[in-house]
Amino acid sequence: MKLLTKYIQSLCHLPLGRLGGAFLLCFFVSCGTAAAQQPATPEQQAQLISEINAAAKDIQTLQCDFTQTKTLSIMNDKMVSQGAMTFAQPAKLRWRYTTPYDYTFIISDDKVHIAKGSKRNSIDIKSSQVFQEIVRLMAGSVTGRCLTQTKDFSVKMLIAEKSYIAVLTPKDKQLKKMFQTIRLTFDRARKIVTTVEMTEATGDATVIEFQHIQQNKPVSAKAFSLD
Amino acid sequence: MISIFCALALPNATAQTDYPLLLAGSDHARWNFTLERGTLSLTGICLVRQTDEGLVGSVVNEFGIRAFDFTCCGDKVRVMNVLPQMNKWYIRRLLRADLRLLAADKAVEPGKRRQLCSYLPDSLLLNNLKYHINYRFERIKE
Repeated sequence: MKLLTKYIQSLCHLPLGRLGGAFLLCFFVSCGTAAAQQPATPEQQAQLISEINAAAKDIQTLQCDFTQTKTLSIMNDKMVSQGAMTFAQPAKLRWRYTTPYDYTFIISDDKVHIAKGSKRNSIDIKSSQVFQEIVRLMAGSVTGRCLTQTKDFSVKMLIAEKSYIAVLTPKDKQLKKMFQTIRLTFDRARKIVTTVEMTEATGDATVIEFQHIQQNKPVSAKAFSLD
Repeated sequence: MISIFCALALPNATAQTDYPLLLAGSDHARWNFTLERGTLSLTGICLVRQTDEGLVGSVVNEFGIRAFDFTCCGDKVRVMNVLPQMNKWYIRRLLRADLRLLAADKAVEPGKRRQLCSYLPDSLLLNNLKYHINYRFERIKE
């Protein structure tokens, strides 16, 4: 990068002037950006999805912190929340926001438990198809298994230097109205999800970044109850 | 009981103050938001900001999924970018009418159908008495 900068600076002294140097800089940057995320060929895509699926099967538990950033263009503002996530196979999930609000969402034993402040609520997943879909999507997104849920999404894989990116486009009409795309970024070495980016039809996005990811560490059963 | 609290809490319980959703001296606020109707309860976050034209706000759930945006210029409220499951003309009309009490830049008489209360320092409660809908706002301290 330093060499490139020096090269561009040297170009600025040529008769092209600063404008020519700036144009060339943009050219190099755009080439660099295009090279940073290459679309996978169909064969590469099938291979990557197979590898990610295999890695997902090895995931027994996941624990991490997360930072969620929601862009609100109408407000010219962002809402940043932080929390912690715990996952255990086959579909137990604890999603807890700690700042700026206290909110817990737990999926366990065919029930969804929600706690906000002192209020608690439990919903039987089996009684609601909507919740069944939510559970399937959340568990699938956290592990990456949603890449094989082809009836819900069309998938396009991109290959970057240190990551694989899956761009999911919803097929369901209702989901399409809510989201343009959902992008999952996978760590290239561990093949686990590190970032989820959901872009709404309005263009606003919710980005969830996972940090301090621990895989297959013991998790107490108490983690999946509100008690 | 709530009516008694409202009467005690507000010296003039029949008319709202300007921009109840904003603290005095502040041009923005964030609230924990709950919408209740019978056993149904939806929670989320309400963000509001003052602009040159009036007020702009957004209600999202805790996961960042937007329920709706709204703007208020004078006492005219617009509701847009509504979650598809809520995007019905009668729901938008109801939200516009109810939010008018909270977002208009001048006191709006709640009338017989609505009630606006402030029962704690950083809480607001708006009741739609006709349809038995409660909107609860609890300020998120920054």
